[in-house]
Order: sequence, then structure tokens, then C-alpha cells
Amino acid sequence: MEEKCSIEVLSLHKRYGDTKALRGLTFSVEPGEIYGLLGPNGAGKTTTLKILVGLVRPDRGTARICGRSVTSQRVEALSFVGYIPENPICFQNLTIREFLEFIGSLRELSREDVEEAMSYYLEIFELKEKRNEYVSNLSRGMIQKVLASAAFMVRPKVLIMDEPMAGMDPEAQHVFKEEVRRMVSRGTAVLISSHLLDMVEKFCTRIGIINRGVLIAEGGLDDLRRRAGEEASLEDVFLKLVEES
Amino acid sequence: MKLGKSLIIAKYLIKNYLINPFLKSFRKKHALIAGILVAIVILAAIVIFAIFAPPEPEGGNSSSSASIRKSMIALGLNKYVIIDVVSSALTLIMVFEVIRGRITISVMEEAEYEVLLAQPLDMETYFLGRFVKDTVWMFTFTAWYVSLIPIATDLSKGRSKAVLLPVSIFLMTSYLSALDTLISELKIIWREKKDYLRLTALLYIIISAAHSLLARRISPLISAPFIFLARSIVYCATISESILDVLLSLGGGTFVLILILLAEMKLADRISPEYVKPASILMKEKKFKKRERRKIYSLGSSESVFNYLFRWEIVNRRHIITLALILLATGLPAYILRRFLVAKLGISIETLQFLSLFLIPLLASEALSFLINSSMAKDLAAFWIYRVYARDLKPIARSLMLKYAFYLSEAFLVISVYDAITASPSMILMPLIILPLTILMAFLLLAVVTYLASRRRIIRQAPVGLYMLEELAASLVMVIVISIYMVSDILMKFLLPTIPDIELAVICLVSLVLALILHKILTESLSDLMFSYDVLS
Ligand SMILES: Nc1ncnc2c1ncn2[C@@H]1O[C@H](COP(=O)(O)OP(=O)(O)OP(=O)(O)O)[C@@H](O)[C@H]1O
Ligand SMILES: [Mg+2]
Repeated sequence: MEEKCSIEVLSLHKRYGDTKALRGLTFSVEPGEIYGLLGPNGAGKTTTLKILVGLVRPDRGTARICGRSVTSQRVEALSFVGYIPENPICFQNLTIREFLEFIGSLRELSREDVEEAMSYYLEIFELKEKRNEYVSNLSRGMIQKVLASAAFMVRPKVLIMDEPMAGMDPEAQHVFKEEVRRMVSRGTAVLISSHLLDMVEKFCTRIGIINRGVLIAEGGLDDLRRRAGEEASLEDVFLKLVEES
Repeated sequence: MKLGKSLIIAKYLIKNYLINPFLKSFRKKHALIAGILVAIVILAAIVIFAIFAPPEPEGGNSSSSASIRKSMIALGLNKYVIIDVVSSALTLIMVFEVIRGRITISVMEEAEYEVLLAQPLDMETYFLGRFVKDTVWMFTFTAWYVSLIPIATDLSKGRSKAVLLPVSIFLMTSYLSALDTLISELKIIWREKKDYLRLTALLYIIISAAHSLLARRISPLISAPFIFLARSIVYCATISESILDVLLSLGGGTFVLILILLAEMKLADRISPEYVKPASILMKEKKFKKRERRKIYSLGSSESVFNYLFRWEIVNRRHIITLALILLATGLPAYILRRFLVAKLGISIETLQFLSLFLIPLLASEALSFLINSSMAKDLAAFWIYRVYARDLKPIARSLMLKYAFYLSEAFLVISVYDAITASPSMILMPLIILPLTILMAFLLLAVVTYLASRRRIIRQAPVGLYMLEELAASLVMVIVISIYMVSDILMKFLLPTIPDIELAVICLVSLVLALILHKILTESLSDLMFSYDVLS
């Protein structure tokens, strides 16, 4: 039986110089959940996700993945994670193929697994003919797809994605969501930050809204709606709650 | 630590930074392979020639090496002095690195942080992979020093040990970069107590300076950290040392390098990935922090460009204080040396004057690499903004020209202060007199830099450093600029003291006018160049 994994964030604090990016943020994501993290620009979403993948060190508080602290048991914790960064940043002079091989060998996947995953994901993201193209020659959306392929390829128990669909065309977004749902059905815990409220509304199973580094609301779409009137869309809810906080 | 993973990291980083950029620019693979083969054959021929060249008869005065040797000895520069000077200069560079504010492990592409370090790796594994990559990188660069073998052979009167020169240089670059990383690590680990670290560094300089004064020679305290390296390089070109001496100092250097590496690995896991950043991002952050409160959009667009590219960078307190400190740090020792020590140490005043020739490459390369990197990262990274919004490119060209000329002149001012103290007071006018030349150099540099910048993709999300080919192009211009400056410095030293004051004033005036005219003309050409590169890309 496979071990199920969760994401736990416990009163995180982080400041950059004078800016307090996080001020005691707490939430958790259970296996099989798609948790949408919403918030205005500068709310601290990216900071949170970066702490979860060990790229930023929190000043206080803990972040755990599958029960492992991302600061003190970094390597173990990260071995469960697939991560898509906020900006389409990728090694400019590697080909798609080389990049995926790179990630595959760092994750100790077998050669066959890498080949198989590569042909599968490049197929569904329609990048098959581009597999020997250098990353510097790809468009923003294409790089995003490559990064998604890399994150999915490692069969993560936890998926952490920072605005992953920005720049993807509708078809790719569809494929992307299907793929995430498939993984969720196998018990993957998904944390996704986004500004695409329509998407979050239909796609996420639970939503957290943060502003200025703290959680101001959390729950299913219905819970949130109740706080802003029955007919409200997520957009209304979002605007109202952020206004109030 | 996982050795296997370190090697994987090294392999793909080398592909990304070294091999693929070459493959990309040579579409036809066999052309590339042929080129590499030719290069290897030439290098091999040089080595073989050096080994089998007939040794010159002892005491033969006909060769150029004999005259080089003679003139160096006339200046009071024997091999011991050179070893001492080189090794203490290297130590000082590293101590300067400790004192400097930058706290980061710098990388060329942001992906190394965002993508690579988000993988399950411990930092030790990453650092080792990085070291292997750096080593290979430096190896490809130092391979070209093979071409120095004939000179070393000549100087050493045909000793075959000269063949080891590139190895020594390679060791030196590895050592410098490993030490640099170690220093960065220490700065990160002790970031809370960074003032103590700086104080220690300062104390170290003061104590070794005091010791040098008392001992009336450069203190081993300051030359020791690099003594093996300096020896391994200088001994390749001496007559009396045997190949064994070279090998011994190489061995000593390698041993210390291994110690440095072990320390680096030991500390690696105490470094948070947060500090692994591309230099370009850091530059941006720093600017951003300071300028948030400034009005970016002042009157016209040309004025805001001027503010952004030139004024804020030059006319700020930090910059001026730094310049003053550097001036003081060169002027004061020069004064003390000249006033009190020349007589006691028994070195000639010419040696002292000669040292400014070491200063030029040091300062100029520091200024130049800063300029080039900041242009690529900041000024010209936003090239597309200018393409879209700027009415014409002239304000940008003008501001950039001014900025480059300013930085170069500042570097030269430091040298002229040194020269004025050790040689002749009128040397202080040097930056003004060669101003037209400086403008010309600024133009040359900018033409190359904007060309490189325009070759990059219009909108790139990930700021990156210089790649191999760009690095080569940039270092080529740097070499040109530095040599021109060195030549002018030598010329000025001969000429200036002989010119009467009135004529000097006239020359300065003429230079100034000439510089202004040149600036005007070259700004035009630069903006034309920028425009045409732009259309090309
Ligand atoms: N490296 C940094 N240095 C200084 N300040 C930073 C840094 N990174 C983030 N910040 C600041 O921290 C705060 C939170 O930033 P963060 O990137 O987490 O926001 P976000 O919610 O992801 O915003 P967006 O929706 O625009 O992506 C902001 O005020 C930002 O300016
Ligand atoms: Mg963000």
C-alpha cells in the first residue's frame, strides 16, 4: 500500500528586509485534495510555495511534506514533490529532452521510465516535434509545459504549482487539468496558486485566500459563498473578503 | 553527499553553459569539430615545439628574453619580488572579497535555483557538482595559455618545465574560484556577525602591513596564502629552478586546494538555497530597494532614461564613498611607501612606479566586468522597453556612453593618483588628458555589449549571465582596453614630466574639447548601431 502524503504549513513567518511577506500563515492540504491558494499580488503566495520546496527559509514556523520538515529533512521531503515555479525558468541551453533526462536522473528514475514518461507527456502537450529544440527557442507556454512534464514525470505524492497555467493555451490547460485530476485520484495532494478564479472555482476542491501574509478565509466554494451571499461567484467572494481584511 | 548526483549535475550544467552554446552557434557540426581539431593540433604543436626546442647556450644575450630579464632586473624586479607581489596581490583580492557586501553564491542562470535546487539534493551534492562544472569551465579557458609556453621556454632558456605553465595557471584559477566560494559560504554563515568578519579581515591587513614595515619586506603573512601558486607560475619561467621545484609548488597548491574544497563541502549544508542567486537578480534587488521612493518619471523621457542609466548610479553617496575609499586605499600606501620605505627597503623608486602597471589590469578589469555585467543584466536587459517606448535611441546611447566613460575614468583616476604620488604630480591630469581615448573605449565596449544584448531573445523571463562565446568576446575587448590603457600610462609617465605647465593646461583643454566632440559623434553612431542591431535581431 502506498503511503499517503499531506502538506502542512504551520504559522509561517517570513520577512524580506522591511517587508513582512508572511505573518503566521497556517493551512494544510490532505491527500486527494486540490487546494487553491488565492490572494492579491504580493500576498505571499509565491513565498509560501517556495518555502514548501525548500527554496526559501522561513524565519519562524514549520512546513512539512509527508511529515518531513522541509528545512531539517529537506532531501527526504523534496523527494515527494513535483514543483512548477512561478516564472517559466528553465535551463536555456538544454534541449527539452536533455532537461527531462536531467531531472529524471536526479530523481533516480530508470532510463525506460524517463523515456516512457517523456514520450507520454510530450505527446499530450504536443511538444513531440520540439523534443530536440533548445529551451531558449521555446515560447513561454511551451516552457511552462516542459516544467509541468518534469513535475509530473517524477510521480510526485505532492504537487506544488505556482500559477502553472499562465501562458498555456486552452487545450493545454485542459490536458493539464485532466492530468492533475488523474494524479489526485491516486491520492496526490495538490497545492496550486492562481489568479484564474474561474479555473479555481471549477477545479479546486478547497480554497484558501491570503492577504498580506495571513489566511483570511478558507473552505470549499460553498463555505466561502455563504460568507458573501448565496449567488456570489468566487470573484465576488474574493473581492469582498480582501476588501474586508 | 551523493557523488553520482554531483556528476549528473556537473554533466548537465556543462552541457548548458559550455557545450550547447557552442553547438548552437555552429549549426554545422563538422565545421565545429574541424575547428576544435585545428585548435588542438596548434596547441599540441606548441607544446611539442617547446619540449624539443634546442636549449639556448647559457649567457646568450641575443634573445628577447635576455633583454626582458635585464630590464626587469633594472627595475629591481627579481623573481622573489615578483612572487611576493603576485601572491600578496591575490591575497588582497580575496580579503577585499571578504570585506565586500555581497552575500550570495552566484549562479549564471536562475534555473539553477528555481529548478535544480527544488530537487531533492543536499547542498553538498550541489556544491560538488558546481565545483566540477567550474573546473571544466576554467580548464577550457586556461587551455589557451598553452600559447604562453614559448615565452616561458624562452625566459627559462629552453627548460622543458615551461610546459607546466598552463597547469599552474589552471591551478590558480581553480584555487581562486574555490576560495571565493568558501568566502561566500563563510559570509552567509556569519551574516549576523558580518561586521566582525570584516573587522577581522581589516585587522589581518593592518597586522600584515605593520609586519611588512617592520621586516622591511612583504610579510609572509600576506603572501603565504598564495605563495605556492605564485611560485608554481613564476618558476616555470626561471633559469635556476628545476622541474621538481615547479612540481613541488604545484603539489603544495593542490594540497591547499583540496583543504579548501573539503571545508567548502563541510559548510555546504549550512547554506540555504535562498542565497544561490544569479548576480543579475541581486543587482536588480539592490537598485530596487534604494530607488523605490524615487520618481522615475521626471520630465521628459530622455531625462528619465538619463536618471535611470546614469545619474542614480554615479551621483549617489554610496558610489562616491566607495570611490573615495578606493582612492584612499591606493593613495595612502603609495605615499607611505614612497616617503618612508623606498630608501629603507632598498627597492628602487622605479619598481614602485612599475607597480601601477599591475594596478591597471586589476582596477580596469574590475570596472569593466562590473559595467558589462550590469549592462547585460539591467541597462540592456530591458532593451525591448526601449524598442517599444523610446522615441529614438539617442538618450539611451548618450547616458550609457557617459556612464561607461565615467566608470573608466574613475578607475583611471585611482591609477593617476598612485602615479602622481610615486612618479610625478602632473600625472594626476592623466584621466583628463586621455579622456578622448576613454570615450573611444566606452564606444567600443558599448558596441560589443549592445551587440551581445541584441542577440538575446527579446523578452526573457530568466536573467542570465554571460555564456562562453559572450564571455570570450567580452574578455577580448577587455584585453584591448586594458592594453591601450597600459601603453598610455607608460607613455604619459615619460612625457608628462617634461611638459611645461602652460602647455599642459592647453593639452587638457584640447583633450576636453576633443572628448566632447567625440562624445557627440560617437553617441550618434552608437544609437545608429543600436538601431541597426535591433532591426537585425
Ligand atoms: N526576494 C525578495 N526580496 C524582497 N522582497 C520580496 C522578495 N520576494 C518577495 N518579496 C516581497 O514579499 C511579498 C510577497 O511576495 P510574493 O511573491 O510571495 O507574492 P505573491 O502572492 O506570489 O504575488 P503575485 O500574485 O504577484 O505572484 C511582496 O511584498 C514582495 O514584494
Ligand atoms: Mg507569486
